[in-house]
Amino acid sequence: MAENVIEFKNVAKDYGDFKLDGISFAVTQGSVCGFIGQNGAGKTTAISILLDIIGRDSGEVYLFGQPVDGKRCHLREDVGVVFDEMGFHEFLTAKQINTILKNSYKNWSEETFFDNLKKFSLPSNKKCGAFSRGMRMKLQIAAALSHNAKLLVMDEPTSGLDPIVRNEIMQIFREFEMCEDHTILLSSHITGDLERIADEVVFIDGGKIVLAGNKDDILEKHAMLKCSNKEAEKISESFIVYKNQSAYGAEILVNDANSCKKLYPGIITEKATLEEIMINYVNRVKTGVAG
Amino acid sequence: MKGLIIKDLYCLKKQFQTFAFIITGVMAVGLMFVLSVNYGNLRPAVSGMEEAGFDITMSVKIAVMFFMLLPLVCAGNIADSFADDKTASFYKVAASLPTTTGKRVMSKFVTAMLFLASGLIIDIAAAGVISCVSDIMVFSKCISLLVSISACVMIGMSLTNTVIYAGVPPLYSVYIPPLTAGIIFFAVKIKSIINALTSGDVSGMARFVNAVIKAFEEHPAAFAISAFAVAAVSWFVSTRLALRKRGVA
Repeated sequence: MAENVIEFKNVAKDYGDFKLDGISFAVTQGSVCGFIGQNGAGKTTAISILLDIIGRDSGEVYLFGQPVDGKRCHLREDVGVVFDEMGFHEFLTAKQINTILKNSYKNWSEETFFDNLKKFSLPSNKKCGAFSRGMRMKLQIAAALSHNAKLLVMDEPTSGLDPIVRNEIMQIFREFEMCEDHTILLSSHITGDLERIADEVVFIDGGKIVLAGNKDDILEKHAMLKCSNKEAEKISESFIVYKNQSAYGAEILVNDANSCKKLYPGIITEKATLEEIMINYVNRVKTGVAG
Repeated sequence: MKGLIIKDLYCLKKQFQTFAFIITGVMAVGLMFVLSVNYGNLRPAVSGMEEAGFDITMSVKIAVMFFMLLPLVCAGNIADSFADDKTASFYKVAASLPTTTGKRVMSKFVTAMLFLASGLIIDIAAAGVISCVSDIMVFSKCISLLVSISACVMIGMSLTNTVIYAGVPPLYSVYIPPLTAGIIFFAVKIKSIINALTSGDVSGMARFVNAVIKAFEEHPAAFAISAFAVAAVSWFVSTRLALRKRGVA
């Protein structure tokens, strides 16, 4: 059985106006875990707790099987991090960033870093303040991949990027993932990207884990039913995640696609996308009812 | 830690032009003043004041020291490095590096000392020139004075670091080093200043300044030890403050 690279056990953090409410999930070695949720759902807070950037009020967090308690900074040697904003000073060049990181990571490889810069078409002598958002993301990724990291933790790396750059970045992640002990935790609200790359999905909303598990299982279990309002009345409440009704009919996300197909053969059943699943779960939480 | 210090030095490099401009200006004005007092236009005025019984050497000494204090204070502007980090959200990157919180905080103190050392080196060079071209101050006394003043600025820089870790915006913290140096200047001979102020005697104030400068010249080691002690306590408190913001509360 694969080891857990990341483990959250009942982790809570209360900001007053926002609360991470006892979340638990694990990411196994060699997998790509998509951490999805709308903006403000708690993804960045969870990642910051994992990286020890902020404290937690209660619960336990494990990284490579060891507790994250502020005493094991060596664990971060094996973690490559990409944040939603660059984090490096705008007056620094990639060359200078190399000097900084070379003196920070034991396993830093200058050769890999400059190769990555070339691969991503990034200039090494230009101030990174002049870089576009896509270039800034690529610079962070180049750095994250240059110290032999076994885990990549990324917080919204593709948000605000055009589809072509997003595709390039996804390709980079796929290449990283080729090595079987490499793991990725990828936080995003762009579910299309995750649908292409993720093995596991953790869906967070309002500081709570709403759904977690194998992506294919989740996509297989859920389905969108499209029917008339009359037909919608017949569907058992236990299957319904959220029901969206209008004068023209109903669209219903159900959590047991196979049973629904058998029980309601006359109703059109379509595969649900991660985006549809996310939106419907959020609506369910928001309204407090299944539609 | 080395990487973080290098990053801070890059921040200093960004301010290099301003720093170089101030240093050059200070050295030029200081030198012109000294030369003028000894050989130039200010010489007759100084002679007249000496004949009237004023201790002009001390006044010139104070003026020169004021010029020399500027590079130290300028170099001691560690708050700018914090402000740059905040603008770039570098704290996230720093926290993701394999470095302990203690070392991360320590890097700021080491950088502050390196900044200060660069100012001190420039001032020592200036002191060498001044002691060569004038008889205002002996070089060794000049060094003692500089070490004492640097120690005061270092105390201020240490406090700046702690205050910023406590959550005060870097923008408001830039005044702490000169303010601290000023407070120490008065606190060293607090009795003299109280006496000078209560007696209403003008020469009392001059006596106070003399006493402070004498204390600076005679006890550089005491000031240096105090500065390192304050830096150590300050680092400890700053680390606790930084740790409080992370890990299990």
